[in-house]
Amino acid sequence: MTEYYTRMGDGKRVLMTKEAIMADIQAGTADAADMAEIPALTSADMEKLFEIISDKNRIVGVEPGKEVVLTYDIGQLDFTGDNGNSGNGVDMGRLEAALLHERALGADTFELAHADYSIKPVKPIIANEMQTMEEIQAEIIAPYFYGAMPNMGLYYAPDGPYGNPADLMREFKIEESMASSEAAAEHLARDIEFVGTRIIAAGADGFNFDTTGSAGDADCVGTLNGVKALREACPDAYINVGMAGESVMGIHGSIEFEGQVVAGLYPHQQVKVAQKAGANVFGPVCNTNTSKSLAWNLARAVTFIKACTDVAEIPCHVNMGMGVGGIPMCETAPIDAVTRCNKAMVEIANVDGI
Amino acid sequence: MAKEQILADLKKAIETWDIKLVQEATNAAINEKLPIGEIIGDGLGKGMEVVGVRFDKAEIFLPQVVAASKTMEAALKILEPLMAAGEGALKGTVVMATVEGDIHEIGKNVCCAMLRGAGFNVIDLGCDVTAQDFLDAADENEAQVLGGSALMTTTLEAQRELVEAVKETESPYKCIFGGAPCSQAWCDEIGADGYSETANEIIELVGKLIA
Repeated sequence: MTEYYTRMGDGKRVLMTKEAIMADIQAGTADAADMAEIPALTSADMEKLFEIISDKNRIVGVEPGKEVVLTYDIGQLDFTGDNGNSGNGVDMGRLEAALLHERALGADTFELAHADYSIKPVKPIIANEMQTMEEIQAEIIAPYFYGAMPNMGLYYAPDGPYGNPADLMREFKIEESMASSEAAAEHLARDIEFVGTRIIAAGADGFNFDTTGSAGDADCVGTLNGVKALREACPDAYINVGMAGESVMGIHGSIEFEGQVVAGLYPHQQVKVAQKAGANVFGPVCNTNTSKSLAWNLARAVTFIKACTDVAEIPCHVNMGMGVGGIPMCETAPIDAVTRCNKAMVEIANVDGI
Repeated sequence: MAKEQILADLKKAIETWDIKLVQEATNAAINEKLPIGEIIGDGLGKGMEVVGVRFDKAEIFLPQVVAASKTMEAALKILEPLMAAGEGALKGTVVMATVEGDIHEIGKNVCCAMLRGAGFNVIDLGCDVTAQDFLDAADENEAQVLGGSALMTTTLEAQRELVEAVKETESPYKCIFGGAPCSQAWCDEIGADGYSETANEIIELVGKLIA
């Protein structure tokens, strides 16, 4: 019986038969469909996905004319960060990193990032970031944004002024926990407006919010309110709202954005609140399960993202990297898996960008 | 008040995290001399089952689960004197923590709330907890089960270390695990006593191990 080389979610090489791959594709799409109450992939989609996964070539790609926009998050940190920070440990300046991405790595857009890549620590050094933004804008041709994670966890004790909801919950202080989340979300929104308006005044073409909702539903609401304020202040800015996961975690449980409870929203619902806040582009995410196969993870991810692109009124640039979009969770994601996942997202999920 | 109505109120009180209702219904149950096992198993516990299912479906979230657990604790507090008098008791003691090297504890916190809600005594050690600390807490609290959560593949090894520590010290504790990268296959490989994929499943798993 023919067996195909493929991967597990942790990157391990495995051999699987067509029957086993198809069974995992069916289980993966069913899992997403069941969770989010969205359509599962069609039989034709699943056959197409099998063709992509079982392709004999190590690297696969889309047909000429079907290429999509390629942009990057995390700025220069993919080079300069260490391997605990998704980087390669290659030190270089931010200008050099931006030009390298533009001129050698095929980036259609790029972004400036602070070493911590979070909104909060940028606030006290915004003047330095504005200066660097101006300098790099004088050299780069591709749209050049500022990027940061909302990362609302930094607003909670011991790093910030608000009580930590996890600690408060453990003490059964539920109302206090929820109030703390709400206060932190308001603070985050204020900081987003502060940082965003200044960096755009310094010439940034836009702002990329990476891993929205990583600290739960209040993080998501704080970000959306910040995006709304930034949109009002900077009507022409390009704003990308990228998410942290396929579902918004309910740490608060009932916090709302414009009357919509955001806890438990899936990509096809998340995109609607991002649109409402004023985003130009949405970055849906589906996290990888390391114990499942590439086939299972990719089918699940494509199912979520396809449902999202079906209803989106703005372009969707899916997050594709280590541990997201069906790609295995390992330091250097294997190129066979990376290219297969990207091709599937373009050809089956119909994304506008990667 | 009819027994059926009391049990329905107990269930409803947990489902709606209504402390006033749970206090009234628990007192009514005591007045009607309902057995504690029935109060917890057929009333309060049934409510917690609904909470677990709704959490799995993402209809309710962490605060609601904690609130339900808090409601359960209010009922158990009223039942405490009867339990002490030997009419019933907590179902057993579970030491819960996120394993060494890992600081992700949301899933573990939900499991703690579910177990408390189901009538278990839960010792929550927090996150980044060594195998030795698990054993010390279990010894101190006469626990039956150790529950270790891990969110990262890199910290799954700490689950194996906990199993090995239990074996090396010939401790009587059962080891159960969960977390995103954890699986039944992994638990089988390391010789664990159980695997729980969801916060709801952990109640049945611990119940079986303690029985």
